[in-house]
Amino acid sequence: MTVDKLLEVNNLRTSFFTFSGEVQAVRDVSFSLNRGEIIGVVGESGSGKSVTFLSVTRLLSESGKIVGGNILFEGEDVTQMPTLKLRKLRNNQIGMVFQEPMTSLNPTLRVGTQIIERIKAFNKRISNREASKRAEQLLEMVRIPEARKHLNSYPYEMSGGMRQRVMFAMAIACNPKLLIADEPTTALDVTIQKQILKLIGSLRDEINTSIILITHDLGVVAETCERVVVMYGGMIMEEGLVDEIFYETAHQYTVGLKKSIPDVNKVGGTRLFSISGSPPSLIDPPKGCPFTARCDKAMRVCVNHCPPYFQLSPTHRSMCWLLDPEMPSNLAVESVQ
Amino acid sequence: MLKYISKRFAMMVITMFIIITATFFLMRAIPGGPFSFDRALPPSVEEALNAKYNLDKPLIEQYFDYLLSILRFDFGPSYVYFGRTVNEMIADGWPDSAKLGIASSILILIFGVPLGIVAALNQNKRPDRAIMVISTIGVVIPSFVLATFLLYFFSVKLEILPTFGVDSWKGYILPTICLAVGPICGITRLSRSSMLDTLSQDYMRTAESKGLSRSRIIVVHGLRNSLIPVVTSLGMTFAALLTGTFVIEKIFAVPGLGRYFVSSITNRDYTAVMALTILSSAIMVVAVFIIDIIYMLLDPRIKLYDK
Amino acid sequence: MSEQAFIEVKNLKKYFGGGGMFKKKPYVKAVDDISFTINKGETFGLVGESGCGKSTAARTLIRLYKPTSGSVCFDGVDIAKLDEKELQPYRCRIQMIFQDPYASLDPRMTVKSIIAEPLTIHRDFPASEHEDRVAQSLRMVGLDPSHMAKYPHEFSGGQRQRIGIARALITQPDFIICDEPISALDVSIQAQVVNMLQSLQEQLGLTYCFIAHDLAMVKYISKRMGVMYVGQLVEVSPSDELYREPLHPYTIGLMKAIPVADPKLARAKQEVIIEGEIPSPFDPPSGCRFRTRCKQCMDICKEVSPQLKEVKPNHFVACHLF
Repeated sequence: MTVDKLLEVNNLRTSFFTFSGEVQAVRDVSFSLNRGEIIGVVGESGSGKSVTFLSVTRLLSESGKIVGGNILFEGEDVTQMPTLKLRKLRNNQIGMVFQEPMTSLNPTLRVGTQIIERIKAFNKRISNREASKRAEQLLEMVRIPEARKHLNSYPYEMSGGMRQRVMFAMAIACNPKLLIADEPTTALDVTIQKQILKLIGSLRDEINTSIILITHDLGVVAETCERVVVMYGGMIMEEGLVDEIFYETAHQYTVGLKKSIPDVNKVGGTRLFSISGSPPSLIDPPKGCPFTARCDKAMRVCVNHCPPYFQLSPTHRSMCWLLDPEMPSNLAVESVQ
Repeated sequence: MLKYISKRFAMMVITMFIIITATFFLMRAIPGGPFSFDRALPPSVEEALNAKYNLDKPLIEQYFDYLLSILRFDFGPSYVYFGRTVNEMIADGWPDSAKLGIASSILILIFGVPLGIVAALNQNKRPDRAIMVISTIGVVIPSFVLATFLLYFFSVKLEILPTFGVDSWKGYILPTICLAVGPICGITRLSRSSMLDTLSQDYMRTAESKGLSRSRIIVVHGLRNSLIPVVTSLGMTFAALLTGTFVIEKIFAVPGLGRYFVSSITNRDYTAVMALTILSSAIMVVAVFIIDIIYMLLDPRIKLYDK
Repeated sequence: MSEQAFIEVKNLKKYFGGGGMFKKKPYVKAVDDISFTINKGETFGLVGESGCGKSTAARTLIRLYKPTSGSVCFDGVDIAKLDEKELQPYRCRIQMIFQDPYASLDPRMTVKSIIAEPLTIHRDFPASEHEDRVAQSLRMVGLDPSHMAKYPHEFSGGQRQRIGIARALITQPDFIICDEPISALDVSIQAQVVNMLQSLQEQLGLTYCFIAHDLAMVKYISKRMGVMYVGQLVEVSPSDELYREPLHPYTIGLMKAIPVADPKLARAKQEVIIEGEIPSPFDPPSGCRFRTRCKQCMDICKEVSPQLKEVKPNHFVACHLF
């Protein structure tokens, strides 16, 4: 069973040590990813979704530290990896694409150079010609027209969508086993987003890689992913197959998130559902379920006791006291507010 | 690229022309002339002097004569040191000033940028703290205070360096250090903040995510981008140093240009003031031109503005 | 509806650039000949992708930019032709809410001075009333007046956007341009802000021009909407109808590109992908500007720029197919 697991994250805790205190960005997150799988990670800003995956490649900023848990990539613990090994892991095992195509590429280097430097980092034997041939082929794979010409382009000469394609070309340059895309389409227009999402789907088939798609947009997840992880307040609220998350929604946060999206097919008139309040502070995170303060169905127990995960199906789990089979039904009605 | 350079060159020529014109007319607009001494000269003498130096011609004619002579790099005779030309004065003073300027520029280049980068890479650690404390002191201490201190220590106490004059190479050491310390500290601080800014850019994280080595990330991705703002400051500093500095030259009795500059202003030595102004602005303008070209090499986006 | 149009925009154009010291620089035709009307108390949505000119259109509409040509009738007066002094009273009646709640509030000013700033500029309001008005404005956006002495950094993104709205409300405007007011906010906060904007509209009888690239949200909040593409309006229609039956090939592609938060529908959805990139407004294609990406492009599209025409009641399209 474990053979199939590409990535296993166990009880990960990541904190940022700032002037105002320890920001507990990721609090006890565990999940696993199979080979060839495409999963979506949904959450708002501050939910810990980006930090979790920056931890996976240890790309946290100076103040960020993994304070607990481990991350197994093909059975090897990334948190204990020596520098050189970690660099190799980043270079040819895990490709990353970031949100801002405008700032994620070095403005003063040609696109080709930026791709080739990855190809050559651990492959000294490859000739310049072969490397640039490979780079050209990569640009073709991400469907950039006139690939050869664009090898010599600077990022500023390209549109946002094109730059994001370059980011993808760069990420898959060394045939990674895992591709992590952090909000890859958030900064793009819808028609371009559509093109990029289609590209992500076809890349998986072409190079047979697992993909983690981090996003705040449930629509993007519904269209692209097989499995979904919903994060809030540094924790996983719910995890399941895409249909389970959308049609058998278990956590009140996911319910609220789904309802806050306007339904384009409904003829207007109704008021949007909105989750009141704002996300909890992670410097002094709530003891119980992080969503308690904004939850309509919060109970006394939610305030001080963090619920365990309740397994709803082999693939579906969620942390919410309402799911406890032993929860007396009368308690479920009683509200803290 | 050629188009960009030629455009910049044209701008440079136009700037120089404007500076020459402005200095010429401003100097003439100031009341009093080179020959208005405390005691009035007999009118005939004054007329003769004016005629000798062509001051009796209409202003516009003098202006065109002057322009023509500048094209031949002839700055005319000094009005105060009779019998000497301004060209001779410059030839006399500039080599010493330039030597000092070049030597201190080299010091600035060797220490300024690297120290700043070392500090940035060790942000908030010991090397950074040490460099920041020292550079703060270096920036705030006036050069003449430093000069006095160094003179006392090396020349008076240890007696290993001369107190004044530049008769031997030893004479250049102290003035060079005094000229360089302030700019080194300034450049260090600038390079540090520029490098820190670059380090926090998204593309640095992208570079790291590609598994590149730390040295490649810093040299290829960091250095180039962080040097862009530093180049301006470096260029300006070098240009200013090349034309001599009055205070340091005075303290160490260096027979440089700075001395001439001040005395020619108080003596209303028209031709000398104009020549020195034109010389220092020419160096400044050339420096800006070179900065622009370096900019273009460092940052491909610059060419955009040309379109 | 026989309502008199509150705002009537006719052939509005805004070109940037031109001039140049030695030779003429190219124009950016940011807004090129658009016409539409907004009725009193209604929300008009303006959607389009980046560079389509929707923000420029809105800013020209309220005279933050001087229009190159065309007219903007606001409550019967053509404000496109007024000079700065004549505009003053209208500046009070028209306000704007900006996209970035982090960048649009001066970090060195207290909430009170931020919100009261329009009052000090318009001068018609005695200083003694400022505090009361700020308090009232804050209450309207659901913030406690005790926040007045705080600074912007003490608030979350959603709260800052509320402060921005409170600032817009203080001069008691009747028309507010909302330029991507929710794009920078999290989904759960977006809904809060949109709901608040709607309640304010009901209470105060406000008219909105709501600009966004999130079509679903624009459709939700606005009764009628216009779709812009490279400086031009390609379709104007009641929002429901625009979603049910988009006519312009660009609108169709845009609608299909919106990700649906429903996996089954998403799987069933037929793929319509608009290939290619948005043309540069420096050098827009001849004829119809969408022709370079349009699968139904005909010969005429290359030569003649289609005009907006009413193909169904209240439904305007600029396309040679109709």
